Amino acid sequence: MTITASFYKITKSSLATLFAEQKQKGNTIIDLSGNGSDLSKSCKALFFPATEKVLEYKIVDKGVAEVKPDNFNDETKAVNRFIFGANICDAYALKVVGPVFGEGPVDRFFINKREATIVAAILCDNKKNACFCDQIIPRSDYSNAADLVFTEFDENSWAVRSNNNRSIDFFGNGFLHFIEDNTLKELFDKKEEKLFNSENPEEINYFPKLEALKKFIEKNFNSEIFNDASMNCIGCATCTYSCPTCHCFDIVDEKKYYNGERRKNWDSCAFSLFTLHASGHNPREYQGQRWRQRLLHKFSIYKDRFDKIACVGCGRCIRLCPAGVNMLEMFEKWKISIDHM
Amino acid sequence: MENIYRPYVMEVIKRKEEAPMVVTLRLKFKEKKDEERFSFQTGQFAEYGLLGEGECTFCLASSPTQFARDKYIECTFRIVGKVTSALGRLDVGETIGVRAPYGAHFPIESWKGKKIIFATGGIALPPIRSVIWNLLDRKNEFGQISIIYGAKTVADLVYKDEIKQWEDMSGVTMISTVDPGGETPGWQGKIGYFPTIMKEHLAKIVADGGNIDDIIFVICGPPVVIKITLDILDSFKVNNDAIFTTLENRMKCGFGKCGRCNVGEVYVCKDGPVFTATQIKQMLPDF
Ligand code: SF4
Ligand code: SF4
Ligand code: FES
Repeated sequence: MTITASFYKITKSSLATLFAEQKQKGNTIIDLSGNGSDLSKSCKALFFPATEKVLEYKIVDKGVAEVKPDNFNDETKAVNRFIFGANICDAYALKVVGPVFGEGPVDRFFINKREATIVAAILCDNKKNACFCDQIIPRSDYSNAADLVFTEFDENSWAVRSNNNRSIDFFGNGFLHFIEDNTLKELFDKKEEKLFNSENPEEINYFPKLEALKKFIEKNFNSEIFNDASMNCIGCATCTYSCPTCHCFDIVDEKKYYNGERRKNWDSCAFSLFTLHASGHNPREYQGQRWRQRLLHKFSIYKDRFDKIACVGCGRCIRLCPAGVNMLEMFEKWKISIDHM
Repeated sequence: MENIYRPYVMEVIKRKEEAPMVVTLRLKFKEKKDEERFSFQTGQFAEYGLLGEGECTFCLASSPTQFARDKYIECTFRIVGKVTSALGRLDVGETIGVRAPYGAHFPIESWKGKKIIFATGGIALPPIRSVIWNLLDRKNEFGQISIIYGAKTVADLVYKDEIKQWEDMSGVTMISTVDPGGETPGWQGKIGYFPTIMKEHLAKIVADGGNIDDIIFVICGPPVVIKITLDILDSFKVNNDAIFTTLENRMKCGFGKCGRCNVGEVYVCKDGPVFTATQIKQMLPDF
């Protein structure tokens, strides 16, 4: 499939007008661009919220339940949204996790939201502290990551790359605010080139070959290296909650008297209870084993199952860990062994 | 469009205490249309839930042939936590939510004409019981069936009535055993752990000039016990493709999304819970 992008220019004031028009039409505009370089949150939660109702019920007599609403559509219904200002890596992460929810029995809660949402990302100007997306996201996928990609043309206007027709369908006549100008392709190419060639922050010089990393983890499966590497980890799950590709969840009931909800809540492989069996047996008793799972899932299991790495190199797990656990440092430390695999 | 988290609403039509803290519930669909579209195969599992309490994973402990005949399913579970306690308190006439069927099944069609040995212990009999009845309902298609079943004490044996039925059935060898110290004065069965008893049984087959090669083995138990049992079968050089087991990892969603049941790249809820010994041995040691 060849993806042919088209390019547009839009003034910042026209964009504001467009947003106002859209709101009037009842569409939701979510502007993340104000966050600027605040990279602490990804847009994951807009598709896969930290807690989400999947059922609502009323307990009548003797546990006889009324499960509401009767119509499946109502529970999974999503509103039309336009997300402006996502990070490219986070938009790409939506593509990465899409198959988990979309393949097999379809999780309409995620998929309906994705289908009703246009994601517009803003190209990053430079790599930030601990970013390593260039090591992970294929160059060819980079500017295709979102439905629309914006980059500043000048003080007053944006250059826009549109990767599909979804925005035209979404905005209708409103799309006329975008003025086609395919010469802008060059600007995008130049900016990407610059980003990819820019200095890596914090001397992130080494990223292992995936095959070798997989072999390394499997070979050292029961060794002490994972415990050593995650010695400081307090199992707080900040790394997984802030990760745009982490998608593990729990299913939990919340009841008040006779009314209640069943909810899908974020969960984390960093928690000791995550895999605890009813018998008391826990296959992952130590934090090191949980970290091993995190690495294995991201760089090997996910690749085997969905042919993508479940990491986009956003660097959040490194930036936000309160204990200074850093997976790039782990790789660096194991470099010689990994490269010998 | 379907909400995959929405359960079938079922009604408890029978409750039985099998052993201390072990309960069997017999369940019937509330809605005719659900009953009509439901079917499953032996070895598959379900998420049983109580609104307000949560969901729990157990196998479908009754046979698909039974469902075809009587339109009910059964589950058997040990009361250990919040949800199982609530499920254990359910009475006849009360409602339960069930999401099912999930996972892979035992490939019994490929066992036709073969002898089958079941070896299991304690609360691991329920998944095996589904297979046993499935085969017994089509008895002329399969060879001799041997069931080696152990529990800590005599009281802990589940399905006591069915064990009696199996003892009396032609074509079935039923060997019950209890752990040393778990016997009662009148205990007629064996004393010893079930893997040991299975070992004795196999040794006897060999001593009698029997052939182990065309036997299918179905074993089930906690991870450590599975490992021990596999070692014993290895010592008899049993073909690993003829050994089946079912893993009981912690699960939530049942369909490969919530991310907690994996053993390396294997998702127990989707790729299993039924695996051959060959598959088990290829897995990373993470269960
Ligand atoms: S954020 Fe750091 S301390 Fe918290 S679970 Fe992750 S690695 Fe451990
Ligand atoms: S693993 Fe860390 S760097 Fe990779 S996507 Fe998740 S938070 Fe970002
Ligand atoms: S039980 Fe949720 S992924 Fe297997």
